[in-house]
Amino acid sequence: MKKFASLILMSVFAVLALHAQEKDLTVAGVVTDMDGVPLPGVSIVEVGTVNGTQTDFDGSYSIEVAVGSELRFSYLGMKTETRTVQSSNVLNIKMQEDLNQLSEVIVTALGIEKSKKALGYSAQEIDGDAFSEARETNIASSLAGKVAGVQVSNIATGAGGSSRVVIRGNSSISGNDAPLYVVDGIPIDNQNIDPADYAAGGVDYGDGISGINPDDVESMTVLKGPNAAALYGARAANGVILITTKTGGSKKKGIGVTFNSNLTSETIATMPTYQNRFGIGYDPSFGASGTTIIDGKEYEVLDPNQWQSWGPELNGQIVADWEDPTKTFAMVPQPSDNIRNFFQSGFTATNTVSFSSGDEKANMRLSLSNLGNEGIIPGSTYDRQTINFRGFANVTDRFSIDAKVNYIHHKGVNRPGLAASSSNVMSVLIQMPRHIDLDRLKDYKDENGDPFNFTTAFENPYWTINELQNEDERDRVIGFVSMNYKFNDWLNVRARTGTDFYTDERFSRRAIGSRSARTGRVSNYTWHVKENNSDILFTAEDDLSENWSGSLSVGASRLYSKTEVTGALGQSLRVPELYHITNAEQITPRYDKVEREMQSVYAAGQLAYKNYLFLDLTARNDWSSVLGINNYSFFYPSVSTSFVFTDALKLNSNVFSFGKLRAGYAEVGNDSNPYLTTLGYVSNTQTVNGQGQAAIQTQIPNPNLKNELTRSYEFGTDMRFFKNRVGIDFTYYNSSTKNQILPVNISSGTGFNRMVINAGEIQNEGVELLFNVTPIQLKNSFQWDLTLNYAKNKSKVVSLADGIETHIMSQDRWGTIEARPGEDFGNIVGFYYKRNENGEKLLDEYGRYQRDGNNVKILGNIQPDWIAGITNRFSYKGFTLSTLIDIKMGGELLSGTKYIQAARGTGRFTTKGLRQNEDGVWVGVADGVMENDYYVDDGNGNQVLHLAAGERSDIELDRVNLYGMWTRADIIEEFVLDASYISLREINLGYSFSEKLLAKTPFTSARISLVGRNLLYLQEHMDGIGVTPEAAFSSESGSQGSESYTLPSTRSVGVNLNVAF
Amino acid sequence: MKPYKISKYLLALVAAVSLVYACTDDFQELNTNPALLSEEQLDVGLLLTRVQQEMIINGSNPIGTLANYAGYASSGGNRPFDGGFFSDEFAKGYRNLLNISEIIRLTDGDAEMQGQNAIARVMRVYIFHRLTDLYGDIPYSEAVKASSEVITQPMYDTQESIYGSMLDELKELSSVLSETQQGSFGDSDMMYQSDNEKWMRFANSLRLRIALRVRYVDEALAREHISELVNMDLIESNEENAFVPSSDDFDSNQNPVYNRLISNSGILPEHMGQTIVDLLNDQDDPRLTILVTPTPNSVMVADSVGDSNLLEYRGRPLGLEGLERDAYPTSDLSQIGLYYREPVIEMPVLYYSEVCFALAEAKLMLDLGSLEADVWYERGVRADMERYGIDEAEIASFLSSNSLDVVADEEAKLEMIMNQKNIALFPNELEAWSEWRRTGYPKILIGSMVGETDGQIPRRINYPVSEANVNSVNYQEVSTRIGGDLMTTKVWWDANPNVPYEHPGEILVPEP
Repeated sequence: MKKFASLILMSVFAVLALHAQEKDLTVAGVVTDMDGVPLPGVSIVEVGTVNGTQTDFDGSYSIEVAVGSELRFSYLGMKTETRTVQSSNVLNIKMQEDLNQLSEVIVTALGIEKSKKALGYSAQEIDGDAFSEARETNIASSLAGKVAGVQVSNIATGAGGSSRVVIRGNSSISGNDAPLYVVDGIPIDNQNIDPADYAAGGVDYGDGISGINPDDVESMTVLKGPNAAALYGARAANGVILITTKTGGSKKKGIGVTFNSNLTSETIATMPTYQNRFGIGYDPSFGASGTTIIDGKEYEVLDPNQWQSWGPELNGQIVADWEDPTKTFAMVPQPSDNIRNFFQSGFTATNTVSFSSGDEKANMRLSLSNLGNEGIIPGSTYDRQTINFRGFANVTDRFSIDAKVNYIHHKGVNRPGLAASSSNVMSVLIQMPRHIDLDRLKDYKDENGDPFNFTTAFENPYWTINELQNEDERDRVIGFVSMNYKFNDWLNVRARTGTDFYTDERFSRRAIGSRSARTGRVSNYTWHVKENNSDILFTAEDDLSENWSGSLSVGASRLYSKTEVTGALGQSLRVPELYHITNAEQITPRYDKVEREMQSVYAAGQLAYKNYLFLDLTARNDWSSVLGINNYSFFYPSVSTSFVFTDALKLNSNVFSFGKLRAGYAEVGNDSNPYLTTLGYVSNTQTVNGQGQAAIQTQIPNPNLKNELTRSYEFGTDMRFFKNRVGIDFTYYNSSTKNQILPVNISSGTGFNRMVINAGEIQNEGVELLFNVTPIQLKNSFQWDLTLNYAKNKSKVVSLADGIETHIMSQDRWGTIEARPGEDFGNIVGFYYKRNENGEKLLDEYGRYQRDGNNVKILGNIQPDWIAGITNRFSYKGFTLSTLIDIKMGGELLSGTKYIQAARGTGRFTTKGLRQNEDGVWVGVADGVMENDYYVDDGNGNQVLHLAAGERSDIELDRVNLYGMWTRADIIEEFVLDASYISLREINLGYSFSEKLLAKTPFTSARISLVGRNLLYLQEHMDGIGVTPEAAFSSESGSQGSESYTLPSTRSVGVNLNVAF
Repeated sequence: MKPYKISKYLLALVAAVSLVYACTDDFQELNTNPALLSEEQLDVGLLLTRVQQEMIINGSNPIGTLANYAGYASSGGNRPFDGGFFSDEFAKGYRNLLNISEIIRLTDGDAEMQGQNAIARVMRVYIFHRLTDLYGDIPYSEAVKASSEVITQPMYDTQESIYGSMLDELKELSSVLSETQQGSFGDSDMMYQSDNEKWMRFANSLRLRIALRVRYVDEALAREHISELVNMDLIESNEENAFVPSSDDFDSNQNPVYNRLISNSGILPEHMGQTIVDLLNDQDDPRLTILVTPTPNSVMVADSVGDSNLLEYRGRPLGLEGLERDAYPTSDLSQIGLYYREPVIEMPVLYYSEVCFALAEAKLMLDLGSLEADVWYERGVRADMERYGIDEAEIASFLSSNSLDVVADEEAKLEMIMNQKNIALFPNELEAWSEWRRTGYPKILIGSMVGETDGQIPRRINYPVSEANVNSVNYQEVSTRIGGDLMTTKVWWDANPNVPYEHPGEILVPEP
């Protein structure tokens, strides 16, 4: 931080010095529309110079110019006005709407800028401010609720974790359903290396996009469908997210300095709920391993292996102390927030300073940023520093250069363990018996360094966070050089090369005595990841005649990527607390290398008629190294058209401002992961009795692998009314992906696990709606904007390969998530209650729930029915208030947390409907009817009918036979929860200081905002178990729709300060 | 427009592109995983070592769930009659069968590798036998095909047909192995160092094990094979015992009991089963103190008085509920003996003592072989005691008071043989459980726990859930055929009409 503070001071002085300038005349005024509504953000430039400014939020401006100079006022959707400065100091302007020149441009594939009206497909742009004020550490996570058709899962893995973004549903079920991230025209690496595994756990070390500093982002554009992405090729089959970073701009005088500071605090929003009444054991005793005499009285000694919480009510029973059996201990429940108190408040501070400068010849921008985070788990921290330099120069009239270097450094310390690993503190905390005072576990080891705990059955959570540690550090450079040469006024060529490479060093250690590594463990892995992209693009653009214009781009590109890991795992440490690989007795080396290459040629052409009818054609051929020997090459075209019928039919009016119809058809090929085409034998790095070992690969390769192909069409319309105050953007799409490349599960009887198939079809159909309205716009500058986006998508598995019944995406003892032909993608399948034809649960001869044999059925689906986002934005003078409500309706989640709490009797739900019977035991009655007649002894040895088959049970069951049956009989149905939610995702209250207030300060602008994210669920249906409905522990598609031992989710609240000099 | 100019630039571009980009020559190399061995690079011995590691070193566990069903163990808070403990056995068996099949495929027809080929074929029978004894009907004829001929949904063969096929295969292999064969695994074969004669004796002894197993369901078949086997070369001494030593080089190669101790802070949550402790205790068996530790309470008492005669040995019945459980506090329970807590022990496959007990039963029940049953019984007991290094005097003393002659009727003699066989099989819990299922001996007492089996010790284990998902037609077909994929369904050879004995409720619950 010190370094940054001094940098800022230096820059302040630099800027103050630059401010000493001389001017003839200060012109000021207000810019409004024809109705007198002030227009903020109108660009005002002194013609022929770089002198310029913008209007304030109330439409006012002031600029120092020489008398006689010309000022040009320009604003989106308005006719540009040019005025000559007279001697008057006041110059008020009324701007006229330009209905014919809706000139918004949008960056599309390959960095080609297009007028929005010419687009034949759906693309949505979000301004950078939307990510930098109320921010997420991972910029991709902040897309939640903001873009129609984009589904974002917030993953509770702490700062620096991965994000999961899916555009228009799952097209490929092989696990690669993430969009392609393209930064300034160059694709970046976004893999999550060594992701957390569903069963084995692990750590989320973050994905590629997590390195991008939100303060550097000018805008993000989401290219949703294959049409939009056709030119990015194979990897764009799941859509593209284009990130445009800030440049120096061309209207600055001297050096502009911007400083942004964002401070937020993270607190627990949801966490599991606990019963606070019952102790360990199975009823009616706590489960003793014996007794002991203390002060002449006999007391039970609790069995250290007994930690299921089905025991008696905790009412102060005196037993031998679990730590020191010479003392007594009163069995009383802990306060309900004792688990919450294990955690702390998190804190994140991000400071960014940027310098920019530029004129029409050249510009540059340099930004430096530092992020420091402390997580909610004590000792877990994440730091990120970025340096970003971007420069542009017109070397000659024809030749220009654009280049960028972005250096990213991040360091994670003790990132939380996830899923079912013992390094996940939740795996212990959700099953903690209720009489255990966590404070007594804080001294987690004894004088010998051995773990101290009340049981041998699981880890002391304080041991976990102190003795199971990890550290990772990544140094990454993303950069590009782009050169553009204009042959003449209609033909230019751009050649570009970009790289993204990093080294990621990962260290982890487990102390001797850890449950998962009793003899201790240390590992070091170094990852080297590199992705290089180079391309060349010729573009010809010209008016063909008075009515016709056109452009044609032809290009070629090459992608090479490599991921390499070296390192070793050491087990069995000779000397305690020496975490060095040479101190390990058992050493397992690791080396892996994965390489791929893709070469492509492509062409894109556009034809425009009278600026209201547009036709776009693209064609691309890829050669991918990962496919079968004779199938490297694949070709795919796209066509789209846009028709601005308001222009064509001259329908424009004050009511109907703009109307456009669009239609598109596209094909996109997709390849796969490398190494799916050949079979081999895996050499085992561990010996046994000194002998080497090897085994055949468990996956059957496919030597003739060919590309997947997505065919998609979409129709849409874009209409605006009441002078653009109401806008509707609607899209319907239908896409089908064939020849899925997919490792599917096959019968273990084959000896193999999986087989790579190259068949099958997935269909996605959906609609997207984006609705903008400005219901109130007052002359006093009060404005209310409402944006609503809505998307509905259905993914269906049409077919898989012959002999393949299902593709199991995840499997655990609490059920599977599958893709089965003829069914919806992502069905949750598992065991269910035995019921009669009326749907009543049939109880067994003891009055207990039963599952219906080994039959499984569809218990839910992980896809939502629809998702939506509602943004309200109010502005008045310098104030803005915006809220974002994020809605997901439908879809289910398979809850491993509920499963474990049901298995152990710790969940609050295991106390529902209990009453005390005459023996003082807490009992309940199962909700169901008897399957068979039920007889009881009448006291005289006769069996008399008590309940006939079909009668409702009144048989008293203790908790273990009531709620414990859910897991003992594996009635998975109980663990499938409705994942619908309405989330208050974001609130942002900001104030921009007016120019008048700033006039006497060195600042040119200043803005302060109070921000909050992930504040609360206005609605959720998680059955009170306290797990976030967005739970997922990894960004891999296999982890979706199921959660296990999810960490508490957090809300963040803070302040953002932005000043410019 | 200037069409001529455009075409010129286009031509230049196409030329440039084709020069730079039309090169896919290195793609094949790029897309070959450098970490994998090809067929040509592979030494098939590496596969055999892996299979022996997984199927033998990691093949038995005297404190695991199956050991409960064998009378060996009583594992803590477990609910042994609930399913779900064996999810990996099926996949593990076939995964190793595939590697064995690869050895067979890669050595077939190679005159210099017939030694390896024959040994691999014996291992193949050994693994299939384990699998069918666990599950009953299993994929056999359509299972573990080479990757190019894979049958993704293999059908389930009946256990009857699998048994027939295994017996025939072993018969053939016996003669193949007794002829000189070229080719050796060397030390990659951790069991017999590729000694073909020992493998031949093992193949014959395994055939004896398999043939005897069908005695109650198809006596003719048992008779047909055993009558040949009594005159063939079987394992004839402890020196020829089939086992693989566990290994201390990596945790995964260690004795599972040692590993459990290490991974659980030196504390074993598992206790000994009542059945085996009582068998050893009641007959003053010298193996008692080797296999079993005294109870902690009795150690405290014995230490305080200095009298080792006060040491007590007490196992726990399985399937206890509530008060029954309280009657067996851990301080009054025995655990597995120190002999089996070392990192390196013999992981059992087939011992000479088992051959002796099999021949004793064959003589007693089928009148096959020349020597009398009591001779084989004594040899069996002696062999097992010698395995533990027990001296001759103790052996002789034990045998004199536990002779087969003390009981008169055939069934009582069989029970004595089977009880001794149960002890001698330790720690081979799968074989002990199978023999219990076949004969009903030793009698295993259980508490009032109901579980999924209505209070009965399981007769088989469930197929993995994945089979219902990915091989559903065959799964449904086999489930119907065997009478339901239940733990209580009996496998084909489990046909002794007297079994199970009435067990539930027989245990005495001492007053707490």
